[in-house]
Amino acid sequence: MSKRSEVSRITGAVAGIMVAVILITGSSFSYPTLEGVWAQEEGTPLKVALLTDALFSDGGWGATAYNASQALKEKYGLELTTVENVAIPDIEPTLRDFADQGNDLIIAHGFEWGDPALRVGADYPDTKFVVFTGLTNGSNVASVFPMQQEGSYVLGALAAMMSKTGTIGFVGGQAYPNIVNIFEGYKQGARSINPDIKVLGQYIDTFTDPARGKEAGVSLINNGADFLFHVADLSGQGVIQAAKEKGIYALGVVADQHNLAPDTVLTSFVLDMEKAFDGAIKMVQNGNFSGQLYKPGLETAKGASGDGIVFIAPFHNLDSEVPADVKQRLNQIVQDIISGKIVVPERTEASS
Amino acid sequence: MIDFIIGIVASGIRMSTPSLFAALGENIAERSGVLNLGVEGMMLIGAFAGFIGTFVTGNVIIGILFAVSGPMVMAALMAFLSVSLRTNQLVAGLAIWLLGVGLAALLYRLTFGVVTVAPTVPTIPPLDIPFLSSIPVLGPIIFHHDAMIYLAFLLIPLTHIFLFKTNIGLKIRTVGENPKQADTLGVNVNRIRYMSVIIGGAFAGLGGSYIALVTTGSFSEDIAAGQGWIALAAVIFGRWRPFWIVLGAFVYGMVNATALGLQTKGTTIPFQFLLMLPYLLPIAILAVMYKKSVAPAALATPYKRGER
Repeated sequence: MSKRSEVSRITGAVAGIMVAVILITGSSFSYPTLEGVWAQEEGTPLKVALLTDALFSDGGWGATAYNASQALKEKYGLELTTVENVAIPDIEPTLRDFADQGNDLIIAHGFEWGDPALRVGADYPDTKFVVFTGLTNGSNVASVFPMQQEGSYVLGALAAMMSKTGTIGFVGGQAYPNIVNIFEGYKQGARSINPDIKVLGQYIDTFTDPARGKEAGVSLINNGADFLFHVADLSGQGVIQAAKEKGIYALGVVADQHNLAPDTVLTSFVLDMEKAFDGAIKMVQNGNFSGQLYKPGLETAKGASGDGIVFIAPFHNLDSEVPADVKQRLNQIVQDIISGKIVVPERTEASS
Repeated sequence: MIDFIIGIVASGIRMSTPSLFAALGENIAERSGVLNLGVEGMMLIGAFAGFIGTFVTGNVIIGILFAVSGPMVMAALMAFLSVSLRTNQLVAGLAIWLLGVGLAALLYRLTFGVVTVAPTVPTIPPLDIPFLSSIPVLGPIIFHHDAMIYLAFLLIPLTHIFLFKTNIGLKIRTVGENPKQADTLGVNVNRIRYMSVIIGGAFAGLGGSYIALVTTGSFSEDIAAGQGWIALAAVIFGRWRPFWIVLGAFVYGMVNATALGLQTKGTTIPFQFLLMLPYLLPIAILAVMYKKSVAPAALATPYKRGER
């Protein structure tokens, strides 16, 4: 073999890999917003990082967090960095990197960031960490664990009131405690209306595979479910697609997913992340950060007073499909949960 | 019970279709002696191109044409690297995979930005074949699917005939077994390899677009979810023969569908174990089959005229 061809072979391979590497890194760090905007009087803007293992293009969990952080950047003139698509093994090093860079507040977006945040937090006392849907806390690490079971309780009640088959289903991405908790709320809500209702469940071990989500949904429908609820992020889009094709209702999660399938998504339970992040930023700005485990619950609608961050989206064009007495009972349930008359216990272990 | 089984088998067929398309194409490339590990990347590009084509034009046929062309360009690049530049095929294939992953994600972001509700296109609906779809059991399993699955069914015998009954198929196989001999007989080795790899790209594109246009009606990063790798395993499992490759892809889809079905029925087996099966089983089968498998002799070996 001639020397020249050897060189061209290697050059070719290296060029190919380099192009690929540039594109990969380019795509996972598409939205760094490093330029600092000076805050009004304080002098230096607050340095905040939003880190997540999800994708900002997921149309739900990640996208909502990204949009919330952008809105708050405008509002407070933050020096904001956002990073998505962090591999699970890289969570701790990533947290360390951003603590090293002198961030005042790191918002770690996802349950699986809880323990690493605690470990890294111990080494960086000047940085505050807030884990969204986490369950850990320490002196400079707070977690926001929304009482999502309250939102899913309402959805379960709705599904039970409107189900014709007496069977409803759910699809979960992973059996994380926060997700198990959501489905336990769903079950309790459904059984509060109809004690004999069958609630079928599926965990599909992925948040990013809509094809598998869809087949899981089809399998639930084949077994009689006429309501599908998902907490599976991108995989959940497949679940909604299954409901759409089979002409049954689906229930969305995290964001108002009405636009994904306007005749299929009856309603969604929404997390007001902007409100949660806003609270965290205020604490850091005012110097009264407290490393607690915060558990905000249900509120009547977006922007309602009180400290709830979970609300039920409107029915939009399907409003006329929901009977007046169902709406009335739902409103009553929401009121009763907010007033404390109905207590939806938190359950992070799956029950039957 | 019978409905439950029908449901699972029909679901298994749907779940195996993307990797089946890709495997049938990859087989043609490998038969010519080029191991293209970039199938997964090409499927992602196919899924993206098919989605964007359908989204922009509103016509699913144009979407599928997009889905086929995008990966063909990627495959041409693979052929350039591995046939013309004679780089290590494993390295070139991995580069194509990573390129596809990054490029599809990047283009999607550039087009749509960060949205809280993903853009969608209508999915291709199932199409009952008259009379056949009303056969008990077999009807709902085989004849109640979308047009792309029927196309996949059709491509199985067609690729077999193409490889084993046509002159060009003979050339492809000869080039994959003994390129030097083929060259001596006046077969243009490089041209045959380019063609085979590019055909493989087109098939991968069909597989990718199946996910985006039939299953989900949307695109997301990583939507191929490892199906390209399953396709590569199916080719080995099938010992480079289309009818056996079908079986390989189908086993994967069936195990996957069964895992989902059993969970719905409620079992005491932990769901993690059920979800592991689709990957465990192919590994087990490969371990048994590999000894007997007869790969094309010149697989993954670059050819240079006049070299000993």
